[in-house]
Amino acid sequence: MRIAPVTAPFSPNVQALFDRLPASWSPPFKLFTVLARDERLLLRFTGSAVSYLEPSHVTVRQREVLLLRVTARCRCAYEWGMRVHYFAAEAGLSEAQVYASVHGEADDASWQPDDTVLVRLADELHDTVSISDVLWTDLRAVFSEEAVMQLLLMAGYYRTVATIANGLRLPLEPNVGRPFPRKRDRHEN
Amino acid sequence: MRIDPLTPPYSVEVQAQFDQLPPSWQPPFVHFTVLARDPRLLRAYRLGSVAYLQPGHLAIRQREVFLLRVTGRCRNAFEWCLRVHYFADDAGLTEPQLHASVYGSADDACWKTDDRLLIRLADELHDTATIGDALWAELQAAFPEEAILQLMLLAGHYRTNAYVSVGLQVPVDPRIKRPFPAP
Repeated sequence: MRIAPVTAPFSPNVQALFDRLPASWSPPFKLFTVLARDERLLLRFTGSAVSYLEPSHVTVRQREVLLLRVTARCRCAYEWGMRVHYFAAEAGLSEAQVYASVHGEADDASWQPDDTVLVRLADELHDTVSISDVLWTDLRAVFSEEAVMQLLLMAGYYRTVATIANGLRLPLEPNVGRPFPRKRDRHEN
Repeated sequence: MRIDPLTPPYSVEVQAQFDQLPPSWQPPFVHFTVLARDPRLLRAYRLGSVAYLQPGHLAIRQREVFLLRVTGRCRNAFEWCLRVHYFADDAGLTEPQLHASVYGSADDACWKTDDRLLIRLADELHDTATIGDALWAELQAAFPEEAILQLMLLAGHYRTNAYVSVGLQVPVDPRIKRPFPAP
């Protein structure tokens, strides 16, 4: 990787943050230990995530469909693979849906009807940095205004994750990382 | 605007957050008052900005060249206009540079030599969400590693700003004097 992460022993503020993270996220990800080179950057970065609000405006399924698509469109296997590892089962995502998050489109047959609008949102933000009137209408038919804002902040936050992970060439985390699936030829489907 | 912002009087929790903003940012900008519909969203969003760390790793010129390009590429008139209003003079940005931040390129004649690298970084992150080897080598020669980390977080935060501002069609603040440039 392009910038060396900080190694233990960590500063008190950084260690306190790591102590608050879920036990299954230990040892701390390189995404965090590299930002710890300036602990202000790390603490602001982790504090700006709205993925795990309790209570949340969106379900785990909705969150993960959006975030697998956001990270896949950014070609960020680092974060995409960890989301699959930690959350795909809880979100009820099938292998076909996990595959489609990388290589499929919003109209892929594998998606459930409610997934499609989230894939479209990730795609429009990635491609145009805006939301068309058609998509806006479809979003508001499903989501509260607060939920839409949470989705927008999550889409932006995981673009930031991708910027760091891709930009610094972070290697997949051992044991919990997972590469993108190989793109299958049409005749293999 | 697609979602209504809060209007005063605000809850104690929201007012306490707005009280932390600089006096010149009062009354609070509309992207803040709309996110304040859930104060947790506002708090998280504000934490995500590493633009004003004291001390930071960047000069104000470097920060503003970079952020005008990030917001310019996103066609984020709301935030671009605010940045020009508050910071363009301090950053020493000229009229041709302001126009080029939206419609020009890194090799535009108006840029100073040191500006070009920041324009290229904003462009490469906007277009590819990564940094190629050639650009990385130049970044490493020009900036400490912590400054590069700060730049990457800034690019991400102001992309998030665009998702909110452009996505919700937040109007340009009536206090700004200079409109978003025409092509």
